[in-house]
Amino acid sequence: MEAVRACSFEVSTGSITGLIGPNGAGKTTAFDIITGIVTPDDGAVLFDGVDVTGYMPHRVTRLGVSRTFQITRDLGAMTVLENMIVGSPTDGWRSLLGSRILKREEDRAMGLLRFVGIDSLASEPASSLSYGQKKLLEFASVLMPEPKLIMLDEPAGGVNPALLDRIMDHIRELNASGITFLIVEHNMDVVMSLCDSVIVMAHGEVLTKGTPDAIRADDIVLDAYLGRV
Amino acid sequence: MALLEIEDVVAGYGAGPDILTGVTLSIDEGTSYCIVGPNGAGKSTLLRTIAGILKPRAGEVRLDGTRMNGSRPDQMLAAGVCFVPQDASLFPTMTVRENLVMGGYLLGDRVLKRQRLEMVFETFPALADRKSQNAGTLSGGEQQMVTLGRSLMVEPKVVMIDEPSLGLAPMIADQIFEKIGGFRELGITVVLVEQNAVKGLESVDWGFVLDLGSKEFEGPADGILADPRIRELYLGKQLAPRERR
Repeated sequence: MEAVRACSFEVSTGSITGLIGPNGAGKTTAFDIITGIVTPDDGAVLFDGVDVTGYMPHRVTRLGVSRTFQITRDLGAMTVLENMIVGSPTDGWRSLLGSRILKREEDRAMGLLRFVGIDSLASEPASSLSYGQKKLLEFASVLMPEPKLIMLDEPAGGVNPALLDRIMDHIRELNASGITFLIVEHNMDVVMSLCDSVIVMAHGEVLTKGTPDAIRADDIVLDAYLGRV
Repeated sequence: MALLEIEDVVAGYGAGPDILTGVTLSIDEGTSYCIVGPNGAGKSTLLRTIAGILKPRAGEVRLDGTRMNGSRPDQMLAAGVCFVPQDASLFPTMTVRENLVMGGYLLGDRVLKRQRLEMVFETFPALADRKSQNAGTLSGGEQQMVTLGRSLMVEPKVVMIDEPSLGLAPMIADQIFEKIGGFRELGITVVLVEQNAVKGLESVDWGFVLDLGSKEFEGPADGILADPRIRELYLGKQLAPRERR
């Protein structure tokens, strides 16, 4: 079945772009296509002018695209720090096989854990983290490959308001440092507060796009959510 | 007295956060209801909690005035509350007839089962034509008919249906909603959860709007979507002044 069809959109460099739409609109599939997990039957994905259509996911990551998943994934038996290292695309897991972590990588990982405020948990097994801490670990680990574009699939899902504020601050701070964000999120308050521009998908296609204010005022968007479109 | 009362119910999964943060609503016999609300509002969780799949962390679920907290799903079913989950959960390699009979598992009595089965085939004539066919070979719409038919086997007081239109073509979904509308004549109280708020509300009397685990408001189904609060719930509001760059 076609989950996404003739879907075209652009994410501007330096923006925080929201990708929204009712359930089944094809948002996660669009993510999977961009990151090489799903190969499109037709069409192309260009990143920084490079045609990355059909690239293996790790190659897309190396070019500077990093993503999270809707359901938090972690390697529970490994420590928080080790989880960070496997997120590094360069020589990360090879150095783990050699049972030693490169100092340079460790420093970077620790710095990022400090950035999200869980550096004190670095040597704990990931399985011992709370849901919120796992969310922060995931957020820190997408930063390991030094991405240009970070794609977040429901960063606010299941997150309490205090943590949500922290995550939103992190996104704003990273964006200010030049990282572009593409965010799928169902919490509309977050989308409308965070994004410069919003793309609305429905039935696998782009329904409309615009500024948060324009999207909120657009009846066709509301209709899509209520099932009228 | 209300048939089903939900009072300040708090619920969630495993050790995770509260998905329902205190829901109160009341279901009267003979009225049909649709619960709408944005993604993550807790609609499905509410149905699962009423059905006994999740135990309320706080609050109370009452059926006919009796406290049902902690009742297992089979006990809720025996008490007259039937839950039709989102994933049709049919037995694909069993025939339509066998699937329906499984819905009457709690009945025990064979004669009674046969009577109920006849009743289901009367309500869903299309299923009678396909009773010997494996359920897995049916179309999505037909499979949904089987799950609805199966829910009738125990002669429930309340049928709670989670997203009956999910994955169905619009025309097929309309047929399903029409069937659900017919449950009223069978004396069954219907509680729907529907992503497609327009269609869901069209087929019932009363609407509940859920957001972030609690009830925002309720009212006659035909007035719900005209309420100005709907836009804010579905499309959000600005949280804080932006402080960027």
